[in-house]
Amino acid sequence: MYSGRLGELLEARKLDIGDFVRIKFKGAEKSGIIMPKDQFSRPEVLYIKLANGYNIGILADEIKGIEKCSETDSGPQIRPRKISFDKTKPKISAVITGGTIASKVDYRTGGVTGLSKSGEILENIPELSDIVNMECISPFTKMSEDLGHEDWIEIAKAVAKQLNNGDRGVIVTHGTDFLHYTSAALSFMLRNLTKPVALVGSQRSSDRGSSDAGMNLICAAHIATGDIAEVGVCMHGSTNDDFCFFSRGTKVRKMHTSRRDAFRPINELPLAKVWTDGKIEKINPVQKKRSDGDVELDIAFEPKVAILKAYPDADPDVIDYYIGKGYRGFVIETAGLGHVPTFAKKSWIETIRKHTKDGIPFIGTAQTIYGRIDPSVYTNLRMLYHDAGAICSSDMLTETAYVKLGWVLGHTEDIEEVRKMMLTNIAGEITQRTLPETYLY
Amino acid sequence: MDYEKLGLKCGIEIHQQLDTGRKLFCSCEPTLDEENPDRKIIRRLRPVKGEGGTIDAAVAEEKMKNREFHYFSYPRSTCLVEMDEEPPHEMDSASLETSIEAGMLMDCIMPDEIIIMRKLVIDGSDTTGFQRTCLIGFDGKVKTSFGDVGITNINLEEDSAQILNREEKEVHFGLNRLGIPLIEIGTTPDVRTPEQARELAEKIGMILRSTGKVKRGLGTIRQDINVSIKEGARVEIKGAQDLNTIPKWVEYEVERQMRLIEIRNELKEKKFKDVVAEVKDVSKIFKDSECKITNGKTTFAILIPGFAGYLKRHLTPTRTLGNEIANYVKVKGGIKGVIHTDENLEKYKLEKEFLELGKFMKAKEGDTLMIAVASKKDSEKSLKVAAERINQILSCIPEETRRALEDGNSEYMRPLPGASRMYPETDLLPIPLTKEMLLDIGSHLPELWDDMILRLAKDYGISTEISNQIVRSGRGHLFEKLVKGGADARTLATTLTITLSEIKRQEGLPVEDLTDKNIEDVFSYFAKGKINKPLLPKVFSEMILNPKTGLDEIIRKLDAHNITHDEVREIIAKVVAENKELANNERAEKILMGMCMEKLRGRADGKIVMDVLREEIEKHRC
Repeated sequence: MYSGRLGELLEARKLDIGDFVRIKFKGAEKSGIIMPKDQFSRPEVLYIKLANGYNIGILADEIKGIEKCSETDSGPQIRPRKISFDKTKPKISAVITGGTIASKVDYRTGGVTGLSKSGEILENIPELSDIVNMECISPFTKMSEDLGHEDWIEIAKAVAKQLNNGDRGVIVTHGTDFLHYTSAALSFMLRNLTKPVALVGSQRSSDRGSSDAGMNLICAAHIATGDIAEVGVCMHGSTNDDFCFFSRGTKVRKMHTSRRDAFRPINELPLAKVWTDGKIEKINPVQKKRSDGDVELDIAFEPKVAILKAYPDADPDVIDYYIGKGYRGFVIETAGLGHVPTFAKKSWIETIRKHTKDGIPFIGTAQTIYGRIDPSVYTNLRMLYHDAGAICSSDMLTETAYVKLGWVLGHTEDIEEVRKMMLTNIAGEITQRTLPETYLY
Repeated sequence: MDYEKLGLKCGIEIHQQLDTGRKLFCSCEPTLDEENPDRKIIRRLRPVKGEGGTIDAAVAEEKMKNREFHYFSYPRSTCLVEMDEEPPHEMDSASLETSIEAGMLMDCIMPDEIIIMRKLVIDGSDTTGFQRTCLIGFDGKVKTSFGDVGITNINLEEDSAQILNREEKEVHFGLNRLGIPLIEIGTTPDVRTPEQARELAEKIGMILRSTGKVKRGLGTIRQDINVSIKEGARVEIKGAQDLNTIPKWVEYEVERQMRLIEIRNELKEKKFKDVVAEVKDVSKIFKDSECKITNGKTTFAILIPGFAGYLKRHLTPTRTLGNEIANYVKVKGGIKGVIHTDENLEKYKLEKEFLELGKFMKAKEGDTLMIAVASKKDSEKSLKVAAERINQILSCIPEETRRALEDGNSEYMRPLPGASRMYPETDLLPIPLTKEMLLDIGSHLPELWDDMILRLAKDYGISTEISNQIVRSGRGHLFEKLVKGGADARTLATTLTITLSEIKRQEGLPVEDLTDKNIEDVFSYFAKGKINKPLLPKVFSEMILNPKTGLDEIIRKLDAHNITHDEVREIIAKVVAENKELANNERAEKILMGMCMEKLRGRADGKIVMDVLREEIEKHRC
């Protein structure tokens, strides 16, 4: 990790990261541990953890001497208790995919590494052993911003396998940024779902005492053993550590960059509120109950789908570009009740009409996030949805529409069939009634 | 006491809040002025693994308590950063600069790169579960009249949230204090006498105040004292607020350790064996007693063979070993306390019951009996804590953190935290300290107060005592600025010292609340002749009482403006005319002077009044 002059200096003395050293610099003489350096610090700075626990950086030029020495005492410490899962508890699985929730900090370096063994998770959250017997499987570990449809398919396969092997339910741990895309994908890919699937992430990493990971996972474990047979996201319902929301996978969205309660149900109520003591309060009556039967995997998917946004002066030529690149469907995040530039210099109407005729579906969604778009209220809407042939998504979230379109195109190329499927509520993605309390819930 | 012979080692740690206009990692106002919180959030903290995969003992113990934390937020001083709902913003550069200045003033060595660390704190006082802190300097020194004391570290960190209320399973904190920039300074254990500890704390406080960027007032500076003696242990006494009690805290801690060593030696000689805490349910003996504590409750007991008399042994003049053990029971066992046979049982109306208990427990002469009145679980836990602490007397004096009590005593808080409680703050980049930066800061270091006191006295012809008072009130720079701007040095010096201290003494007003701007305004009005000198104290009092009222309005209200010479003559002429029969009286001047002064209410100088009065009387003489 150290290169240049520092690298040579350390190599000449056979010193490496983690070694205890005695170092002379600027008139001081200290013992400490050689630390890995911050990726973004100056190249000629050596990082040392002093005996008082603080890290400091010292310029190579200032180092007057450095040699290995013996370890110093680091205060009273106790080992964490060794525990394991109780085989008599309800069996569930955790599919570990990465993200903050499945990461641990190397306290010495500050470096973040993945966490994939059930023992490690239990060490952090011992309460889980009172609730479930959890098996951990990790098809991969990635940050959620790096996930795509191939990963969704792999997660869906893992979940289906565990459920069909007799698990009570499955938890999927996941980074939060793209979590709601994965939750939507699993909602479509897991057909005939008879058991709970709870996706869970954390907004505060597990290295800190204030991490939300513990509570989110404990609540998710309760959901996984409960009787709501839906794919949903289980995370903090408020900024307090009081309860989590379990929100439908197709109707949930990350609404804040950093808050614990970032995941909100959109255009409908959460399926349930859940507390760490196992209490579950069902809020949304539209939900399936646990039943028998194997889950069916339906993973056909067409990834050549893009999201576009209607904004002032937006140029519809980008659509031609995408089509030139082989794209086969579009979700357009439209303005207000469902508008795109219509009579503007750069009108989108003709471009959409032309490609729709060629069998390319365009799905309108709401960039307001909340609310339902409408195909008929204004002339311009009628031109887009009735005349040019775009598909009005009603109250489907943009992200959900994007995932659904890819999934639908994986099943049919026929535009009329695509239209029919997009307008059919398949996984709770379209609601019939907009309840007043759902806004900013 | 012969501290040298006892092998006293003492060092201090000072925490001083900075006043740079913002918090260390966000732009909230660093103020505790807001009275009403506008929101409450409820959180819990989870234990986390320390470095090397182990849980720190101090952290683990806090975890056992499993408490709920209620945080109150305030509109001006709290944002999502304090609530642990947003990553920290970039560090406040003024705070960084001030702490570097402090480091330079104490001859510290600075690193080339500052790395912000997370120090695990799981008592709830940080919403994150850690405190952000960084090492700014080390290996410095401070002079005291007893010799130099080394500075081991200067850290810049965020202050913790303030406890508002503590209940058994619930602690309330104010988020307003969380994140206020705080400088921490630690010294080497080179302090050899209690008095030197006080002087050292004062010196460091003076150096910090010299930067002009520190907060003033109660709670803005806090001291911790580390004490150990030969055969004793390092003990940290936390939260020592009062400088003048510092020697007493040191003395009492030395004494406490001495007494514990004495008791240990006696017990060893007696071949005292470790207590085996066999907790017995003795509810049937106590449940019908007259004592309100035990009546109708479940009571549990242990026998401590051969320990009679020790629990009433004094560790300090005002604290016994029994008090000490009760304190452990309270903190670690979670019950209010224990009752034992070294106490006045008559007071509890439990003499009869304890006699019976003695028989039941087969106690012999010289044994101690101890009871806990609580649930089986809590009693067992608490009595075991008591037995463990007694057994520990034989092995060692525990290294621990103790809370400073106002009377000079201290009580157990938690084990001494280990050094392994820190890891790098991953949300913030390291901060390079370049030579250019250091040269720049070094080229305009603030003048130390000790130096300023002598210089102001010399340059402006005021006494060292007055200069000392001005500088220590934090108004040295203001004094110099106003004098350079034309104010009369002596008048100003008198006002800043005698006048203000009289307002404080006579009216009990917080004169330290007067801002530099307040004083500057008053003197600017005074220089323009808009305020009459004798009324200056009243103007200041009014300003303190009504900080929102403008100076013009105060002057109008007090009628404190200067009056013109013509107005003076007019008033005097009127007085003389109304009393012209007195003109020939030989005591006329004296009588009329009194009347004039009353009418003028101090708005004119006495000498001028007398001159005018003489002229006016002359006009009426015949």
